[in-house]
Amino acid sequence: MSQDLIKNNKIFQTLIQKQEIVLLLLLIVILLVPLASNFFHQKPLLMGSESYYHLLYEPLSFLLSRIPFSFLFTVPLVLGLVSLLLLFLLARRFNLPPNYSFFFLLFLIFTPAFMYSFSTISAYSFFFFLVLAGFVLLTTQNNIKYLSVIPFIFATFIDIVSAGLLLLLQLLYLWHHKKEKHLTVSLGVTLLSLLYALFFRKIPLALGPFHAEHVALDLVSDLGGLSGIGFILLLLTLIGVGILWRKKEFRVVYLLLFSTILMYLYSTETVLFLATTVVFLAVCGLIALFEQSWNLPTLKRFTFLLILLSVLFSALTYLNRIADLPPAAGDTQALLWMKENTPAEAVVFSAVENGYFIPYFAQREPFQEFHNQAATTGLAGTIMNSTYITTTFPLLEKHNIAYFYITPAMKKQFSADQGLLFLFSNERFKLVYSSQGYEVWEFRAYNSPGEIS
Amino acid sequence: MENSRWLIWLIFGITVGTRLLLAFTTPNFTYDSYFYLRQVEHVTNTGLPLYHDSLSYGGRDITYLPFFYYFMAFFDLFLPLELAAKIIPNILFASLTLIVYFISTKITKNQLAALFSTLIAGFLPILFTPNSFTALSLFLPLVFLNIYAFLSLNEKFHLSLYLLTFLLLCLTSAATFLLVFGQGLYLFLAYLERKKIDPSEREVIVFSLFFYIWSQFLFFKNSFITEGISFIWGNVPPQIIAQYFPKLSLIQAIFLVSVIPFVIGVYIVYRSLFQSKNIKTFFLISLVVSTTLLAWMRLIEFTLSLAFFSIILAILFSLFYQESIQYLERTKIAHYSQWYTLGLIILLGISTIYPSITHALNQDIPTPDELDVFAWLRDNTKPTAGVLALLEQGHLVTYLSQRRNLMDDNFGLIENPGQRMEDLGILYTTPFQTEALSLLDQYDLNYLVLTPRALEKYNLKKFKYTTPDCFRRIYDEKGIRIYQVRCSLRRVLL
Repeated sequence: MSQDLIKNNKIFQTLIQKQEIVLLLLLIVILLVPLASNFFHQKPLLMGSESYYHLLYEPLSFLLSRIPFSFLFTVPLVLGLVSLLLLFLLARRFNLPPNYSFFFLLFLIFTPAFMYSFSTISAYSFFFFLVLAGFVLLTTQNNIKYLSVIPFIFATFIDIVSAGLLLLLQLLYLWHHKKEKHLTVSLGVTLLSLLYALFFRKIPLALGPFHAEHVALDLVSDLGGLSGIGFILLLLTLIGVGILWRKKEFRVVYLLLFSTILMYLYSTETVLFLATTVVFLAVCGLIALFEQSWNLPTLKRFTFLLILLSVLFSALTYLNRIADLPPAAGDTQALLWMKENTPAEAVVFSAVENGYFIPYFAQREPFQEFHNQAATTGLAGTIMNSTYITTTFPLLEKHNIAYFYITPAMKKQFSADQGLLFLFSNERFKLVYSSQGYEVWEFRAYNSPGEIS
Repeated sequence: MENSRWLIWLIFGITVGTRLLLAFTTPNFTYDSYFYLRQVEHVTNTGLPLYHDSLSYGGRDITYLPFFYYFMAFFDLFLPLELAAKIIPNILFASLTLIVYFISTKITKNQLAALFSTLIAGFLPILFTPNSFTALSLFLPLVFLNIYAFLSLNEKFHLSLYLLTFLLLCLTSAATFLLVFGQGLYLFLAYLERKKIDPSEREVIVFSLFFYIWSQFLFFKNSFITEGISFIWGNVPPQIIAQYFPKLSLIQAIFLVSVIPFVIGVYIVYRSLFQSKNIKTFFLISLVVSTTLLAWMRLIEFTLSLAFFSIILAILFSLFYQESIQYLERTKIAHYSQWYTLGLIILLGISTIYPSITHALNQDIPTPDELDVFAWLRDNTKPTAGVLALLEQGHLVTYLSQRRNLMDDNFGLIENPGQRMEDLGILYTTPFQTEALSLLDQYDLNYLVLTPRALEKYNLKKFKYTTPDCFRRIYDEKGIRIYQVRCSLRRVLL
């Protein structure tokens, strides 16, 4: 980094020298802010659809079911902190210059994809941690390096795309360290583990989705997506790619970038991997931009400050939004009521976004969940949008839908004058719960023609 | 040329004079101007922008860049607002003649050639809207002042001027994106053409890019989050988006830019893009290309793109004149060069001045009767009343009547404007009273305004659902009617 920006600046010098403490503290603050907000708003501390998916389904449910619900929020927090520590270790092992490691880790923890992944229970955050742990062990000089196979094996049990990424990383590492034979062993074990997971455990191609995917919105967090990357970092990445295009030593990174882009296009849930690669290129771009001497040094300082402010601003804006992740306090109250006051075998219809909260809190079967929505999307759309009882009622009876869970978000999305919300005025629907805009409606079956049970 | 200084001021004076004459002889402002009038009035009265408007759409948040409003509020302190709103924007538009002269002189070093550009810039039809009071009147002069400063960045004064104007641009209009994109394209094309760019220009462009992004995120973060990528299109309802972002129409472009500057400008761009050795010209051509690209991709409003495009073509005309005169002077008919110049002046005069004045006379302006009606509403209805009016009349409802409207053409941060647009159409055209009353209840509207414009737009003779028991006609003059809503739908629970 150009000397006039860093060397003569005591603040930057201090920050870089004490980057471990500074960044750890920063990460703790970032991860605690949404938790604190949830606590004060009496929302569950554990946020996000994917968190509840993993509480219900393998492979993580086995592990997570051992932890009391009130402590589950510590899982992503601990994973985040440990991952950061592992990143510090790796940066040292790979002899990354201190300014590179500082800005890379700073921008990474400010990236919404990272914030989201380590504020919720996310399979890819586990994967991230396992891969980092594996490479830290792999790069150890003594026999502990053979223990790296353990985290690598676990990392192959999530899905095929992440396992493929792990294999790619190992291959690239092997390419640069051809003389280290244990790497071949590690790669071989990983491959065998993947084959086992693929054929015997039937892992999916990509886990999820856990939200309604949109390629553009999910990429740029500033456009309101669930997570993603800040626009400024994407711009810096373009600058980075443009500046470093001809440098051979960065070809590895371009291969990773290409792979993570393909993964992202297939499933936007993999944005964390793309974000990590993008942040690295962005930092390279940033440093290359400011390593050059400028004719206008004052402008140089202002531009650098602007970039930092923009990244910070983007992160703060996202941090403000992340606390709004479901479930809300009203969700848990309504669903817990449902657990106590509805039959255990009842099927509950709601928006697919609520698909994991219903089985977890209400312990009832939801009509649709994200991971199986392909089978139910068409039907769900018909039920939500049809205004004709001759269309809707047979579907409800056929699928044994007895209850409807309606949230304020659904009321905003669907008009009360048409579709299902309009049909609620029919005598066969009864409002059995209503609080703070959250409603539970019962659909009554006929005992005999004309008679409602 | 010694006389050029007084000629510039003469052209400036004629431009200002013509614009002011038309502004004051044509009553009132264009429909969209009333939004700006209201905002400036609020800034003058409270010192703050009106970011939460309780009247527009029945109550909504707005976000906009505030500099133009504060700029005009300053003049509102000394002059009546509507007087300042007629004078200042016309002076600002006319100032383009001076800025264009300086830019043209810089690229051609030929004052006579620059005078031609000045003349064209003064009478571009697309800009000849003397009754329009919008931020564009400040934005365009600032942009071209910024471009002028960019062309001489190695001088300290110009660097300071660039930074100041860029800061003001970022606080005036998000359309500064045109400039930033143009600068980016300039770097890209220069790289392709292997042209050497001054390092100061590169640095300034990088700074401008990041400053622009940061400043726009500061103001519009909620819009980005709420509207996502459709923020680019201003959340315009799908029913009318083609009006704001139409397909490029060559005929319309020729008419609004005027034929000679358009044809010659396009020729100069085409010829110079790959041949020009002058880096300053190359920059201007990059701006033309970028504007065309953005308009073609329908990422910016057509009128804005045409306005920007036409001024640059006016500047590039000076290049054409210079080259044509130099060519002529090498031929056997060199002694006809003065006649050539004179002929060009006459041709330009005919092809620009007449279309400009025609365009000015055809501005979309409410009639005095319409204004009287909306003023009447202010004096004869409760302050909390809601009024149904056409989309374009929405700002008249809020500014003149000071009542709630159903909708206006400021669509940012509005949920489902398409549905509102549809409901507005239904309220004018439905034959069913129940349907109308349901919508009137939903939007809490108490008065319906039916103007000749509405009758023409919806091909009506009157509202089809108004009956005396539910709709009392309280105003009926000069073809304009106002109905008071006296009925309501209620749900009865059995």
